[in-house]
Amino acid sequence: MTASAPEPFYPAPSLSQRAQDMPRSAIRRIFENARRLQESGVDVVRLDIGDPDFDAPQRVRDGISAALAAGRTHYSPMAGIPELRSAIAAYMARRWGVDCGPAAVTCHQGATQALNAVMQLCCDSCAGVLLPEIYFPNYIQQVTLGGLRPRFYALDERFVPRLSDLESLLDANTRAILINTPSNPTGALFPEETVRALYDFAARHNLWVISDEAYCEFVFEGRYVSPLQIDWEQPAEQRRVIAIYSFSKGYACTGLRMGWTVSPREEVAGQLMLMNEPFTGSLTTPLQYGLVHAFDEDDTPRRVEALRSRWELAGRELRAAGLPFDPPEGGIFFFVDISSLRTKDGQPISSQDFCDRALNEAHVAVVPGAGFGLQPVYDSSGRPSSFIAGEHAAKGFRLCFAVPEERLKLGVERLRGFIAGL
Amino acid sequence: MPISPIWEIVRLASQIQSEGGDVLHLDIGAPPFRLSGLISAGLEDALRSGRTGYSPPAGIPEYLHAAAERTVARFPDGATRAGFDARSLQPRIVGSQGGTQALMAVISGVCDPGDNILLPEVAWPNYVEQALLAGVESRFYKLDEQMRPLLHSIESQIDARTRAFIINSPSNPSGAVCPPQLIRSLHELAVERQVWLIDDLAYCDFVYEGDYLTALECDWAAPENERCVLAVFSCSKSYSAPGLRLGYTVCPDPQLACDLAGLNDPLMGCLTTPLQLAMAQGLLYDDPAQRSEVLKERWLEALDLAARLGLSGPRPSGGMFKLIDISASGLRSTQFALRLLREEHVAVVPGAAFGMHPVGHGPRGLRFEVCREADRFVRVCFASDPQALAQGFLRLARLLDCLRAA
Repeated sequence: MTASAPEPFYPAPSLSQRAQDMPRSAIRRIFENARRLQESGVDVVRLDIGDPDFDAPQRVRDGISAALAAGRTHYSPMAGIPELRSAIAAYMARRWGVDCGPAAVTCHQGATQALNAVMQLCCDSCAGVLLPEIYFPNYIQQVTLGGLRPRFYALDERFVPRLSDLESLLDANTRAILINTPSNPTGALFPEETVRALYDFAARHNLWVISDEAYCEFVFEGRYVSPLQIDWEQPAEQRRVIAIYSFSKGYACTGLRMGWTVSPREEVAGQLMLMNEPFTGSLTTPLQYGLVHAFDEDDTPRRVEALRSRWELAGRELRAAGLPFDPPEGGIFFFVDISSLRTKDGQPISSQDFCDRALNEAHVAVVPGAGFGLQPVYDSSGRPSSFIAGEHAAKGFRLCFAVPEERLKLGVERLRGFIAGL
Repeated sequence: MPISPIWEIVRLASQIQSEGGDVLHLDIGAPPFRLSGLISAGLEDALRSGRTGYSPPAGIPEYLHAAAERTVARFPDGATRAGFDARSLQPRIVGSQGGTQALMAVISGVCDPGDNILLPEVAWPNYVEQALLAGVESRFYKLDEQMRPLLHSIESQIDARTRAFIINSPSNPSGAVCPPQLIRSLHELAVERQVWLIDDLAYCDFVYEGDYLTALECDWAAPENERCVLAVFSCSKSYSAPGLRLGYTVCPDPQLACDLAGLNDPLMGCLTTPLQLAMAQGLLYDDPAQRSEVLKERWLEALDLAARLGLSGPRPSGGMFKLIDISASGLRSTQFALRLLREEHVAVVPGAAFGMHPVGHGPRGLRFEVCREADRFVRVCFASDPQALAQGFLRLARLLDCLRAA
């Protein structure tokens, strides 16, 4: 009997380098760990994910039902249904004094998808984009996937951009600056003079301004000024802001995944619409018909008031627990400083360890600040071979206060006990 | 990004309609089905019970479970042989906001900038757009006269930077279905050359003749560590739910599914929760076979009409579309389609839309060339109602005759 040749073995192909390089979100990591713990029967206080406990407005849900009954389940126009774009344009004029008209409005399958489309529209591969040093982690994932080169602008102790540092970050490839006020994760609201200075900086250097306005409805203190409002003071041919809005927070529709962009000119809106095609094909039709009714009533102030009392409560409780923080003016998060904490043997504790241990030992889920400050380190081939957490971001953790008051109290109480036992 | 000739047709059609003209739509084509009551009821339930919060990036467990059940039910033999049941398949599935978004995630997930991907020379235009956005070079493989992949054309173009090839059986725009032996050869090729085989199964529930095999089933028969098929499913056609934007990808192993789900994070954030709950009902309890039966009648009707009117073109064996050869008109497909719309008020999609091939940079950005094999045809959707179909074919034949005579 002759020995048969061994079967050839062909290993399966691998994933792309960029997919492997893309940092995983710190929020997802904690989210998954917390969920697993909950599934094992542990009562975890969830202060990690920013999903306020408000239900989607009844009129939106009724609108979706009506759309189903009317058989509106076919493909949607790529820029969104005309009814929704008109409703959004009317809201922009009424609420923010930006009379952009429906032609400047493009709908997207969520603000995250919008943001990705905008990044790709403004920046070619290897183009530079300026991000705040503490930022929402999706930015770095989108930047890595698109092959963009981020640089990070410094924030002061109140998490407001330090204007003096901006010029030094520019190079010939810089194409855009991203502004997020009120900020996720810090809750900082940029003062008007800062927003104007950032805008002027962008204008001087011919940059796009990408304005993430996801939290624009949630302001508790101070006056909110958006880069978009400043932009619309300019003649059309000089405008440079693409603003991204979400139904998720202001209208309590996180799971419906709809957002929109306002572009400086109609042709930019048209380009953004074309970007929807390869990313999502089209947009969910019945949900859009429901969201047309989001603006029918202005119940946002009610949600803001509910959040305001939790915002006050969170501030009180954290202060009582002796945890330092800079009071946020908006958003749904506190960014709590743990840089001065020491364990019993006098060692500082990293935000990562703090959050992992708080979850496992005290059953409270908060997100490590390090995850909001990842900065890529490039190897000689230009590949982001590793990510290092910026110092400022690594000083704290993010706590979401958009949860019922008793959960918030319990969460902070557990954190206090946990810190005492460190 | 290329500007698709489809937009010219859409613009002219809406202009004609706004001037009071009546346009017969054989371009997109509205299949004669309403959304299943099961799916609507599922959505109502989700809304009533306040399930409107965030979903995990891969999708909610109810949806993933339903997708697994459906896949096992759709390919029972393959699943049984590989030892898959819904439970063991579920961790290999990643949900997506439509088949299109799944493909975008898959292309970004397997190709780096500078890599290349092989596409059918006549294909659904999103592939090229997605590759461009991902910074990936598109190469085009030849098809035979029935619009099925020519194996040697794929084989001869694979090089060290080739990461994947896409097949689409039944195909949009041609309706071509690859015979099982060809699918086996394509799968073997992918395994041996260690490239990904992206199996776009958007039309897998609509096959009207012949044996049908998918690369996914071949992959299940291969040893686990050699598996290389990423199978992309769409709920749009099978469940007549294009406006719900849901699909899913079946991956060779759970780790890969997990990695691909990670890409949903920057691309989408997550998926719509209430629509997933709704579609789970469809995947579990609504059978696309009934719709396939209806479409099969229209397919027969379309074949019959084409034969009677002397309209030629590759014979579709599945899907919703037929290509009609208009080369005898002496016009390119976009010109023909515009004249058909202007003179006969029939909207079809020019073949050029399925053959826009990037050919390098010019002074005004990327340049595209229209592939000849695509430009000979226009695409008609045969899912429209039989009267419109008959009228549309008649008028198309009339214009073609008239141009041929001229």
